[in-house]
Amino acid sequence: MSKGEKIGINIFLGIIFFIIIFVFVYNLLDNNDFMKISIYQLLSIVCTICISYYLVQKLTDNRRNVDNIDKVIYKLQEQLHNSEVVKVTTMDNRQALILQKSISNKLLYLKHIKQEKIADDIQYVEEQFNKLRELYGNHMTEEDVLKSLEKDFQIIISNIDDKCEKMHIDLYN
Amino acid sequence: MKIVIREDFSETPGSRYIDEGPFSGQDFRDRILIKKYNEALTNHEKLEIDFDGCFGFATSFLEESFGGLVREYKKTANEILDNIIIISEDDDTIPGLVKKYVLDAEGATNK
Repeated sequence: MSKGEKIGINIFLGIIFFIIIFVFVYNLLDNNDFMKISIYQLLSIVCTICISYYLVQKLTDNRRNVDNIDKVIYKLQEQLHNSEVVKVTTMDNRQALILQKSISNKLLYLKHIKQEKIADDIQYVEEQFNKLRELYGNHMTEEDVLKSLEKDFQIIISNIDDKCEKMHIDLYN
Repeated sequence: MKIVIREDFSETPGSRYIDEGPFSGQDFRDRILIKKYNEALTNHEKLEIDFDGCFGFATSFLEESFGGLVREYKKTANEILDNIIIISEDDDTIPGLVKKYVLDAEGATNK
């Protein structure tokens, strides 16, 4: 939006504001019953405000919840793309185990949230990641085997990554 | 009765078998776990196993330690699961994995 358009919108909103104030003051001066209200009208207004407030809050909470889930999925992908996650060498695998633990924890938390839209995808990602974790855990002391499995690791990581992208889209649809 | 893995065994648990390197699951099971487990049973206590404070656990370590109790020491899955308490704040997946490996080992043994 250009600067000129912003100024135009502000002027328009200012005019509307002054018209409302003018109508309000005019009615207040001209009509003695202007501030009178029946119980029915009062209750209607209170009910409308309460329901609107509840619905807005609920929608905001849901949106925040979805945003948080999305952030966890992004973080999971970031960790998954860390080159240390399946280190194809037997030298010091502590970082790999730490990352795998962290990813597994995130998947467990995601599994326990109530998001029907992505429940099946989380299940798939968990199965794929468990496959990777078991494969790595069973061969982490055999460098030759790890090297021969590098392609399998990459396929699993790619499968998980694609499913995560799908979850990002599905969460907001 | 309690085992704190980082203190009683290692902060860096290794792989499955002793010949694969230090601090393996087999080593943990044969040197520490089975001894404390039997002591706890004798004393009619539950064995608490604290997994926290370690760098992480390979699935092969967990499988050999706990699945191995079924295979090598002829313990039943129900007996193991009823008599151990797993403490794992760092890795929330460990209780589920231990249960799975114990049940899988029993299933494989009974085949």
